[in-house]
Amino acid sequence: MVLSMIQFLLPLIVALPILSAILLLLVPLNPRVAAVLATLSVTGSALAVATIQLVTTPDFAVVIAIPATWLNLGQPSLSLNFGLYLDALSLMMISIITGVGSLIHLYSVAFMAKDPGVQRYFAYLNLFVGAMLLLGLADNLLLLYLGWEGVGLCSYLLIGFWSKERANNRAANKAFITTRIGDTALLIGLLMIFWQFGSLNIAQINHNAAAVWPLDSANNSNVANICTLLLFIGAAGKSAQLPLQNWLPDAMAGPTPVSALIHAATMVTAGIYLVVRLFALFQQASATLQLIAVVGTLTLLLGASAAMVQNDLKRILAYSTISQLGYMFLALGVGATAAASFHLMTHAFFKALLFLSAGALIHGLNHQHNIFKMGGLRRLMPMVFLSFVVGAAALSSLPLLSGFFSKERILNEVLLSGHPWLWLGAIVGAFMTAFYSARLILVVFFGRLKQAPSSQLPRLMAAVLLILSGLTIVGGLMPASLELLLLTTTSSLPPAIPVWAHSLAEAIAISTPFTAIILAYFCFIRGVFGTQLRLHWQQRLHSFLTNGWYFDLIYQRLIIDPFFALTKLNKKDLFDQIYRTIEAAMLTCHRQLSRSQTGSLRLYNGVLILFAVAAIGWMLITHGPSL
Amino acid sequence: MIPLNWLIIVSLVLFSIGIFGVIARRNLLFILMSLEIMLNAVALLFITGATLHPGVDGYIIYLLILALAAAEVAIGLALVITMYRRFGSLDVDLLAKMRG
Repeated sequence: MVLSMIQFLLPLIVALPILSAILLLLVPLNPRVAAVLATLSVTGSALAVATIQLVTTPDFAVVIAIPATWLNLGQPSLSLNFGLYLDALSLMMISIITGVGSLIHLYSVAFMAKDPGVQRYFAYLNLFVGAMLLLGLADNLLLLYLGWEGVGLCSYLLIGFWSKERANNRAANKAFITTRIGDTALLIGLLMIFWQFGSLNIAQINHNAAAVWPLDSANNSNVANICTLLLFIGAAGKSAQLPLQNWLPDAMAGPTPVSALIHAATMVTAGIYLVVRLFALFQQASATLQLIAVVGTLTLLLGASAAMVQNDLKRILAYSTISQLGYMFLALGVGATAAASFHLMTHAFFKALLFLSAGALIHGLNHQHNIFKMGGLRRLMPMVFLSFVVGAAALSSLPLLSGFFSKERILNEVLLSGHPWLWLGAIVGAFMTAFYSARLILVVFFGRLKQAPSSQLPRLMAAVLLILSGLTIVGGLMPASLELLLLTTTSSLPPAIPVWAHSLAEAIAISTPFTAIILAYFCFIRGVFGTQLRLHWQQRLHSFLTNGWYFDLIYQRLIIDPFFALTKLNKKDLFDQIYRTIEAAMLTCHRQLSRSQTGSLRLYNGVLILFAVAAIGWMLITHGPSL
Repeated sequence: MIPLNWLIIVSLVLFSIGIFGVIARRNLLFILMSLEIMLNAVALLFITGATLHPGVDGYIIYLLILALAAAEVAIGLALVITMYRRFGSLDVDLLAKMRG
């Protein structure tokens, strides 16, 4: 009974937002009707997910619903289904997507009420959620890739939603092209998997991973490393990891609820999800795992350090997302998939909360983004202040909030897996995280009032913020089913360090955010270090961090400039020259010929007779005797 | 009996005079007359041939040429008159307006 119910609900979850998106794209509707329709479709999906959550037990078995065949190329191994695959992991994923997604839809109804493009906006938003759900539930990698590309497309459409401004178009292009690099790597990785496993079915691949790529065989592990590396590059593109991270801060060009959706529920979580989904493969590739851990640590340091010096409210949050995703990849790199998924979930709550509060703030202050032009808003916007504090506290992992449990777990797992240097990096990152969170709160809400809010917070937005605050506070409960599923895939190593060191590390991890907050208090409220950067190296460092470690500049110099130079060099296309030469030759001949067309009757006559005589004469000479 | 060669030579000379007239003359009326001379030269050659060979083919062609010449002159004179009306002159170089 339960099984058939799930099999009925599962396709519905994916279909509702996609059908609503198609309807919104095709039929012009009243803006209010469009908004309500879009919100209802995602809420419907969320209710379906909640029903599934209720009827399943923590240790429920996998459910597969196969509505239709997608491709059939003759052989059984080459037939692909629109199969949906539900286990604890995908259940968690679709809960986040539909839960946070429907809250963001609800918030958008108020946020976008005055925008002329409401219907387009909600169509894209629905498609975004639908594509992400497809990605989360796909039972084969090609279907997952379809969702993956759909997410990329929708992010492009939504980042460039206000398409009349050039900067927004540039940001959308940047996001699309950068993630596209990763997507290409992912596609190659998928094809390699098909070559190795003869199948794209996720369950089958995970099941056969250990058999096809045994750990001890050197030759196989090379293939495994390359293949998983390609998958990781794809994940890094979507999840904004180190070489491909620079699109995310620019993705702030879209409407704020879109940023919340990209950063919390959809898009950036896709990369983490992919790695967790295929973790059986990654386990057979130790070199890739090492790389993932190092990349994750570097990314979290980059994101946190850049977030410390940004002035734009949304850019602070964007860099903070990069840094939190770095934590998740660090956890994946040391094999702690459960911790990574857990952090993914808590991060979805508190980052959505932070972004939506930021949206409320920006909404109320007439699109003011600079935090140093805000101040003292504590009393004037109490609801926003409250939700910001809850979100920031969870972000800086203050005890008993959801972020605390997940981040402490990651730190713990990193330490237990025997990577003290990475652990140290993560602690430094945690320090910086707490510092910039405290800086954000202190600068925006304390101090003297600089700009009074022009409008009241709509009640709908306040309700959404309240719900998300609640989720952020109580979200520290790890779903038991996830624990059961992922424990089997995580290798449980014996503790690599003595007990006293472990306790010390825990104490350091817990006290770090408090130290950072106290430091931030002295910096931004008391101003003990002054407000100006006087020394040259300080300014250099500030500029280095503000520009996100100059990655944009490096890419500009290393890739974009040479590329444009090359295109400029080849502006007159080399192969065009061949055709141009032919054209020029024809033109010359034509000119010469047309000069003979004088129009003089006597000349024509003369030439005609001359040739007639010549022709007859030639015939006489050659055929003389026989004529 | 006039020798055959003479007839052929007269015919060739007439034809050459016609060609020269067509090329060298600028007056359309004289070009038409030169064309007539060329036609007559050809007609003479056919009659010469007809006296040499048995049969009436040569005479038939001669009659055809006569009819053709009559038709050609009718059209040609009409063109001459039209040209004179339009340009006030019969100089064919005036017609050389078509420059490639």
